[in-house]
Amino acid sequence: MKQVKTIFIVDDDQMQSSMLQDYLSKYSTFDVHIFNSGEECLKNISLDPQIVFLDYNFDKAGINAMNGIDILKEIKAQKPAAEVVMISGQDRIDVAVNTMKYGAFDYIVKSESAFHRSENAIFNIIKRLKLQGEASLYKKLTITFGVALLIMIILVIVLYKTGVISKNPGWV
Amino acid sequence: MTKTINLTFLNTFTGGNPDKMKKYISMFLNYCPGQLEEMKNQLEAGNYDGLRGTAHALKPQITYMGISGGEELIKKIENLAGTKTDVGTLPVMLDNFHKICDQAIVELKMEIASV
Repeated sequence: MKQVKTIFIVDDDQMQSSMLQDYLSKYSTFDVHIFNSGEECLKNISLDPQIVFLDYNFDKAGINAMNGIDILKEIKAQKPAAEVVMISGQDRIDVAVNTMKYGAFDYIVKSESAFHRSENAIFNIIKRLKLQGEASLYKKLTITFGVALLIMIILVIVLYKTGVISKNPGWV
Repeated sequence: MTKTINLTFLNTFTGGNPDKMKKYISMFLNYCPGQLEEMKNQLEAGNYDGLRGTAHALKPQITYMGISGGEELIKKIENLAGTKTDVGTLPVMLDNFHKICDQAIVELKMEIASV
């Protein structure tokens, strides 16, 4: 099962990023990186983040800065397994739905509860990864069992055809 | 006189840690005046999209500093500038918001000195 180790916070609001980093600092197992723009985040995508907290608006990062949706699409294209949690000051349902359409795991409105909700999102992602790991294990076990059964059937047929075993064994 | 700021959230968030309180209040004090000036300039230039963006960016920090009356006002400014409706009301609204923030800044400076 893949563990959550590296977390990116991508936001041009320094205070928001700093507060979220502080909030997550109680979990010493997480390696949290802050980036002020999507471009910076994508430059460092080789660090292989499992979770990216991504702002929706990058108005302060400059007029030519990539917006949240474009960054989300690029992250998903380069690292499909990374879960992206959108964080925005927009409490509009259409904006939230749009981000989900492009593969965001969750959408959190910047408010007093945003930090607690971010923490919950991390736990939900860990839970999902665990379930995916278990599902993958069950799939492998099922395939292994199926192959073993098939080999046994083939072996019985071959042994039967070659006369090593018969319908009426001597000991009956 | 009633206080404009309410630091209950920040206090809970930082666990009452004075260094963290100072850090976040300082961040706000460094950030807010510039944003107020920018909003004023954007309104004067009729740059409503810019005004919406600046208001949007400042909004969470107003919430975290518990600035009474400021949160509702900045939401309205963001909304009106975004939809470009009722823009005639924006100068008064922005002026009121500026006054609220000025008062909040005075209180926050006092707070930071006492932390």
